[in-house]
Amino acid sequence: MKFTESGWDEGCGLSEPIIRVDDVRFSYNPAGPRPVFALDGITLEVYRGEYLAVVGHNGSGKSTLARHFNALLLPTRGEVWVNGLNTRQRQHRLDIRRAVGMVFQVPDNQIVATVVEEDVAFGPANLGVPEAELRRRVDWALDVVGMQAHRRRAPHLLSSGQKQRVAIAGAIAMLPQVLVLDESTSMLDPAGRDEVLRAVRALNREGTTIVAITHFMHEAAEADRVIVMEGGRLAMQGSPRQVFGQVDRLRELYLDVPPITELAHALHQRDAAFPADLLTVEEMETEVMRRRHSPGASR
Amino acid sequence: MSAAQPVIQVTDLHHTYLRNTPLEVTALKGATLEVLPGEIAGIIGRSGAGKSTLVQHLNGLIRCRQPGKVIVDGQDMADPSIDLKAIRQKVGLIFQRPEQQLFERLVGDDIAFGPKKLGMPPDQRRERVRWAMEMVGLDFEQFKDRYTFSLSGGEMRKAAIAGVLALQPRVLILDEATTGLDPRSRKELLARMLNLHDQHGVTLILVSSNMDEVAQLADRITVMDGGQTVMHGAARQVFGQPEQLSRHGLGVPQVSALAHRLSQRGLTVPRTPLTVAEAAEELWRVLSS
Amino acid sequence: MESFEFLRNVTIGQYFEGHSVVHRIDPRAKITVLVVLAIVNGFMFSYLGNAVLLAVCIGSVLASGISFRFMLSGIKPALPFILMLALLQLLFSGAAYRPYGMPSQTYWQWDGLSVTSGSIQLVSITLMRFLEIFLLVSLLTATSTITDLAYAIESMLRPLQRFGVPAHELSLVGTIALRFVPIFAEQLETLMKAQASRGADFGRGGIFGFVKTARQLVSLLVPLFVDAFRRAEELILAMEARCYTGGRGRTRLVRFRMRRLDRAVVVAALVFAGLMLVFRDRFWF
Repeated sequence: MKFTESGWDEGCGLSEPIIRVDDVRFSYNPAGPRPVFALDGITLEVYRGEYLAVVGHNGSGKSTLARHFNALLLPTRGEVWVNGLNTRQRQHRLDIRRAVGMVFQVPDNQIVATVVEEDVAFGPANLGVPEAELRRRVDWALDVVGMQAHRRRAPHLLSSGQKQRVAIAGAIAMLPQVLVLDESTSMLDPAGRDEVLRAVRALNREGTTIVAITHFMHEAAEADRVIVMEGGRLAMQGSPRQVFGQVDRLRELYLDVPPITELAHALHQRDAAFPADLLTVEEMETEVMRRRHSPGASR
Repeated sequence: MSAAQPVIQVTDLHHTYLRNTPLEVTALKGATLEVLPGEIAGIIGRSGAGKSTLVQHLNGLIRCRQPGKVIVDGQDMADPSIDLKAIRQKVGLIFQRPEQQLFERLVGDDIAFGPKKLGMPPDQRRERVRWAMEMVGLDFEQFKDRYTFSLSGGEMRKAAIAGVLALQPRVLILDEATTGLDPRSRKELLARMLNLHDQHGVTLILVSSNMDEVAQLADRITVMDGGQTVMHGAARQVFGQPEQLSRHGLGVPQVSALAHRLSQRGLTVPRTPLTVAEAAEELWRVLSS
Repeated sequence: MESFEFLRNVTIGQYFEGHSVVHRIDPRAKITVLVVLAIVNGFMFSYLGNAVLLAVCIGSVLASGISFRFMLSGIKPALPFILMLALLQLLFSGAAYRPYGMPSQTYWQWDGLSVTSGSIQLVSITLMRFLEIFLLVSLLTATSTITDLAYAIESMLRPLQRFGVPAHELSLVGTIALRFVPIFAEQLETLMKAQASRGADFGRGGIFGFVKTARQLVSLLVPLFVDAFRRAEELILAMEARCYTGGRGRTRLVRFRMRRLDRAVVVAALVFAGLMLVFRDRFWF
């Protein structure tokens, strides 16, 4: 079931939370003289099927938060639940990591094998998936990301966008319910980013929950829900329109807004009737043309 | 801009890597580039277009031995007697992730590497290091004796860039230097580079895949695809052709795309806007007429 | 090293796709043949013996369809070392070394140095033996992907797992190391370019230039190691996220079956080796 904006607004949600973060605090040096808390009291839920974007400047804690979702990090205080399983419990770790897949920022540092399809098989092979099923999963995953043609190639000969797609294939071959993308597009050129986003969108359409950590605002604008982090805390939460509409607040947090939104904001300053929360070129185009054809009319 | 002699002139440049081996790959098939002194030039193109290969010819990292001509500050780079060190002092190159290139134990020593190689006496070296650190925003006294690897990522990046600035190049090439940076770091880096340009007349060459960045800063833009220069002109002119750019795997800044779509629907915006501020002005004028 | 193209010299580990007979032989068979021929190599001290072995090696390379010149070019960076060693051997080992199949004859002498038939033979066969091993190893990695080789080694070591040999872990270590060779080559290239851009010199001036380059290489090793550790940390995280917990219970994707051709090649190699070893003292030259 697709998570919708109105569902969120109503508060009850059309789907149940697949990840629950309960008042989590995290420090890399908890026992030290002056522990610094990268996460300072986060409570949040990730709903099944949603496309969640987490933004914030470097050091706001977004990657740290992401690594709590698959038990790569354990909270110093508080609890994290994935599918009802507590991440602190070792016996659940494999199940948790099977349910929550992760793709990292640097494409090269995730690829283990020297042949694309071998690397995609790495995850399920670790789970002991029998050989016939292994083959099926690898073929399916490569197909979803559009890398079937390159399945026997050496990874170092691929472009960074292709490598990242291989990494995604490797993660989804484990059939996770959630895919966390930790700044997975930041090292890519625009074409590579498009490739990755297309694959991610396709996965979300098929029901995979997506958590995208990113600092590209136009990517976050595609999400169902946006969370803004600052100093290890949740600073803002809402639909992209709600969040990006608050241009000044975002500037205080050292964040960008999509240029179109900034433009809408600037026009809104001059004419309060002009909507300040436009997100895409299409929306701006529509609004401008509408005003041309019926000047003086307001929304 | 007056008709000054270009500081960089590349004509019909070709380059093949690993020539005569089974792994041979042709990176450049006739690239051209012209950069005037004091301008900010942008080079854009999809990954694999040959941008890095092109700029590495400009400071002699790749020697011009295959067809084509590269003239830097009036000197032909194919001349075997050319003084490469002098060229590398004049033309500085900052790579992607420069913080990964630090190797000296102390920050000051690393930044002084370039001046040392140039044979500068210790006093002059010190002054250069001080100047370079000021340019990037690292306090000289506080950082010069710090252990390189004890710095934060951002501080290391600044130190690495200072290492290139210490040579006081007249032309500074940034090869995807902002890729992977978060918006705040990117803005800061570009502001400092702009400062270098405005206050010290340094010519900047930006190789970037970030269209907004290039639109904001570049005077003229060269577009590359498949090892060739496919478009060239003033920034406004290049970004006014989104269809052609998309054929070469490139986008345009959102505001430029907007103006183009509006003009296709009959609403002509006189100048292609490159920044939000310009777009706001243009649109306001259009909407209130 | 005026051109920074490191990949040019990395022939060991570089796989070249192809459909030759050599490519199609099961990697386990190839590894076995390599080991067998390496053993033979260890016992060859005659000109003729080495000529035969070298011919076999060259023939194998030709049969694979891979450019012979390109494979040889991988020796280029090591050439100064080799020539230096050859010269030392030529001049210093003459007195002690008794040549195979010929009387010891001194051609030149001065103080403690001498050039004898013995030292000439030693240098020659050492070079030939080095070349044989180099060609065999390069051929192995050129006609089988690293994954195939790692799979093969793991398969062959698997029976030893009951004795505590961590077959999977070893092969994974090997795979990852080889996977990152081109990455580190590129990283090293970037580092050298960055330093060259700041005025550093690389690779000028013959023997003494080489010493200077060695010092510079140390200044490159620091960031390279730091880079390696950083990548290792990230890789570990990625592997944990993909549920890696060691070799127990793992399945595998690729599978080879030994066919007649593979068995035939192994048998042929064993027969050849047998003959060479048995008759090693019968070569007349």
